[in-house]
Amino acid sequence: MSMHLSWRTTIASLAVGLAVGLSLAACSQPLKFSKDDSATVLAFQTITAENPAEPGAFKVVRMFYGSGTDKQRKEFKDSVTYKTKAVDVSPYVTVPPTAAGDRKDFWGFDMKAVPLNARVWYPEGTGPFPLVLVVHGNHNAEDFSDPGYGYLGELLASRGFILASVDENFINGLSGENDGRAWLMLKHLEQWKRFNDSSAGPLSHKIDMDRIAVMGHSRGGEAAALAAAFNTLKFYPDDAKQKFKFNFHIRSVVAIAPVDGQYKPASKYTPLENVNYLLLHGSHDGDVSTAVGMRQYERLRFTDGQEHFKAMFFMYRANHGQWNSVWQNKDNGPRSGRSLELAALVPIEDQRQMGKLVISGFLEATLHGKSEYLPMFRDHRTAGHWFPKSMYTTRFMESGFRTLADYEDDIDVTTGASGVTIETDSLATWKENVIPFRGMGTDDQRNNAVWIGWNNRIAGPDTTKMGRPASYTLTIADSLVKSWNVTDKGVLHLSVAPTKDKPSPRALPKDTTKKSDSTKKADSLAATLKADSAKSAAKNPKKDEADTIPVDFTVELTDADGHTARMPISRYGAVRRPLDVHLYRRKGRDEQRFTNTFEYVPQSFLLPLADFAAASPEFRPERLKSIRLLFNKTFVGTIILDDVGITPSMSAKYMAAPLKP
Amino acid sequence: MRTDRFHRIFCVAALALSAIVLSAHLAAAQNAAPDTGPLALLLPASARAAAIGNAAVAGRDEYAVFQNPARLNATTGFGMTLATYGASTRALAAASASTIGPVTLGWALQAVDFAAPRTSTTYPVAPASLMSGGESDAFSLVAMVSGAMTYKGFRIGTSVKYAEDMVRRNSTDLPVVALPSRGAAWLLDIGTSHPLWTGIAGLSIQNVGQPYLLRGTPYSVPTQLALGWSAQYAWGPFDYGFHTQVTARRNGWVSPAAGFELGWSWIDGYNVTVRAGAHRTETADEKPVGAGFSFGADRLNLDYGASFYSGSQMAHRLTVRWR
Repeated sequence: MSMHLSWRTTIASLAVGLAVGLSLAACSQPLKFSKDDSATVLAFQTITAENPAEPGAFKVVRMFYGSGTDKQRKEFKDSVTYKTKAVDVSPYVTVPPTAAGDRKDFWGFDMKAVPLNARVWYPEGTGPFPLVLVVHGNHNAEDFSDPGYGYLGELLASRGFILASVDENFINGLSGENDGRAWLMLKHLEQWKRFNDSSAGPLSHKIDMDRIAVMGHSRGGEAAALAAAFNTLKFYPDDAKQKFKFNFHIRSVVAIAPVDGQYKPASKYTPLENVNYLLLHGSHDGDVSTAVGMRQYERLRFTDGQEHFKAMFFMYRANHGQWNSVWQNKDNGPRSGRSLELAALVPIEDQRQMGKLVISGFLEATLHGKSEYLPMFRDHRTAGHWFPKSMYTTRFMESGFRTLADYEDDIDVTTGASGVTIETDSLATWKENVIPFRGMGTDDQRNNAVWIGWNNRIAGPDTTKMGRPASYTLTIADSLVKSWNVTDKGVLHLSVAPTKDKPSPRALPKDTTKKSDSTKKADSLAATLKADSAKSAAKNPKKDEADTIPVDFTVELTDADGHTARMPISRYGAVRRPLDVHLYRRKGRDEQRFTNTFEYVPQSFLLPLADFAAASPEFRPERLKSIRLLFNKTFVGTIILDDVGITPSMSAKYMAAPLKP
Repeated sequence: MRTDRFHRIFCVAALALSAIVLSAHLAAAQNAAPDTGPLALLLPASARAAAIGNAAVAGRDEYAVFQNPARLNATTGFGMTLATYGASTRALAAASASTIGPVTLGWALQAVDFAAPRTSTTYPVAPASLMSGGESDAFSLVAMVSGAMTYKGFRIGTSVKYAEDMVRRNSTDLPVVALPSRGAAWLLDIGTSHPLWTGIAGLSIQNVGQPYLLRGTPYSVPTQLALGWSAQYAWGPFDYGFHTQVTARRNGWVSPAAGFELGWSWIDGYNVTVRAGAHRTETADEKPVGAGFSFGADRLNLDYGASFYSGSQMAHRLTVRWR
């Protein structure tokens, strides 16, 4: 008996000891966030219009349309206002033979006869009302996703939009099917045209088929862009036997945390032209963990001379699923809480409030023509009081943009667009490269930019000794400025993503006895900097702490007559170091999964040339000659710079509600 | 659909629990299994198998090779089990698998160091005899190499086994140097498995081979057919699984078995699991129920399993698995 007891005791002690030890060793990591500056950044509110996230004046009516025979959803069987005919999506969607039987048993149909089901929120009134289709993405097919946008439906219908949340649950769980998702959206639009043209029914002649937006989430986000691309084609790119004849007036596309490149028409990333585009992505997306929608954002081109814009909102601590009330915070499936740090997420209500705000504002601006909401896309600080407390990195470009340097065309770092030359002074880093995503592997943003690094400090024991501020200068040919007809209503665009890299101090100058005039001037500036930097260094004795100092620099414009004007970049937006993202509970998991624990999202800055003229009355924007980034504010740092350009004469509606921080 | 799924899971759970109760009931009224050997073929090889009533023909880990070579784990892994029966019996079992291209290869062995009763009428030794010990030093071994692959959706596998019992003559009876008596057999296992409903079905024919001789007497090997079904589900924050099996020996003895597992993971990679199972045992001295628990931390798993015997005695197994 004593032997048994001893053996039991030994095993129990061993097991318990190991379990406790390993459990302790596997502790979850503490919550880690970037320093929250939202109290400062969101302190303004210069847009005076009503908040587009608040309900409007219309009474909301709800209805369903669909097959009337649905096996799984009563609402699409017993409650359809309009009955729709099934369509054959099989040319675009392939079901593995091993799964075909089970899927048909569950749904009651196969891909040759899928239903056109949707739940609809529409305003009571005579209309015509703009139409918005929203489609969910991939999710457990039996946990139906389409009801998850009801909060948007209620809001948008009250504000005079028709929102239809399209049912594509029956193609969830497949792969390479986003062309099918897009095609189905277009088939729904055909259905809507019939509803409108019909002399009977509650939506007869109430639909504004000239004002259509398509919206999608996750795979649906890629499908929405694809639908806009397919809309103008005559044939399916992968099989011209499939004819397209859509040509709807799709004006706007909204992509919520979209995937990109899961389906490539003709093996190419989907090109997109001449629509307004809004992209939302969360930094803490546990499903589409890299903001791949930025590639579609980059690929969108404005070629028709019409007025369009594209915008992106990257919300800190937002996830993938909270924009859908069914998906919630289960980015990694029902057991997300085991792996994902759910406590890091913004509250569900905040994430949806942000979605309501920017989506409603975008649709009001692009479908209702309410230009008073445009400034929030140029600079979200103009609507700071409307945004839930978080940090937002935003991108914006409108169709008047003219490129000075996008770093895509050649491998010569000294040239920008045709007629633009580049020179630098005292930079520690100057290189062009593709902007990476944070994920492992070789996937990148397919967007090149320039890395600019500087350290104004002179190497040596005196840590306060500063050299001439580093600079990066683009010089523009006179003919280019003239041909673009740059005016004082023009706007300078810069896209900037600070990095965490800190170049080493500069080597000592070889000869300090002979000073040119320019050096004397620089020395004078350096003396000013020296005091500021000394204070900064004293406050930040540890190397790592310098990373939390916001980057700032001066934008100096010079006209052909040599008159200069300067503005600090920080006046036009927050120049944040990369936002730290730790998705996982387990310590070390983020580092295993991602190359970086942050995403490079270049922040767009729009600097009105009129501001420079106001600061320096002699400066003449119409004779703009050079743009110089002068790194005289933060003594060390590295930025990624992209999309340097000018809108020669910006529409005043974008520049309304100016901020004077 | 969600209701249907719940209904299906409920039915399966009810069936599995019924099987456990039935197994226990049958065990209570059982006759002893006809004598077969070597002993190492009759013992569960891992703590997990012991805890779930040895209903592992459709299970999946390195140790599945002891029951069904088709279930050889497709991921590289290694496991080692230490077991004790009473005061005088110790056992060691080890198993490993690794994948090379489409083929999974594995090896496994179980060695039992025990004391056998002196009289020849007690051989072959039943598992329950290990608790009471004996006067003769004895040793039992099974060692095997296995291979498995997938063909047209079916997992198929085979093992070649060497099994032996060795009983040393009691030196107190004989003044001369004791000579061991050894009986050995070469055996073959073949098995298959395939997804069925929401789980996996497994079928295995084990211990195909000739009777072996010990001290000139032929003894049967436990040639048997095992058919089983295992499934794993999620229920809120828990994972749970059912394992069922029916084993039929060539000599007509039939043993139903069933087991249940309930696991909980509080963070990715870590989990605790409790297990219970029942099966018809070889003899009435071996209780039909088993129980155990495990703790998993990333690639490391610690399993404990207990078997129960008459006289409130227990056999303990501790398995360490590394994947």
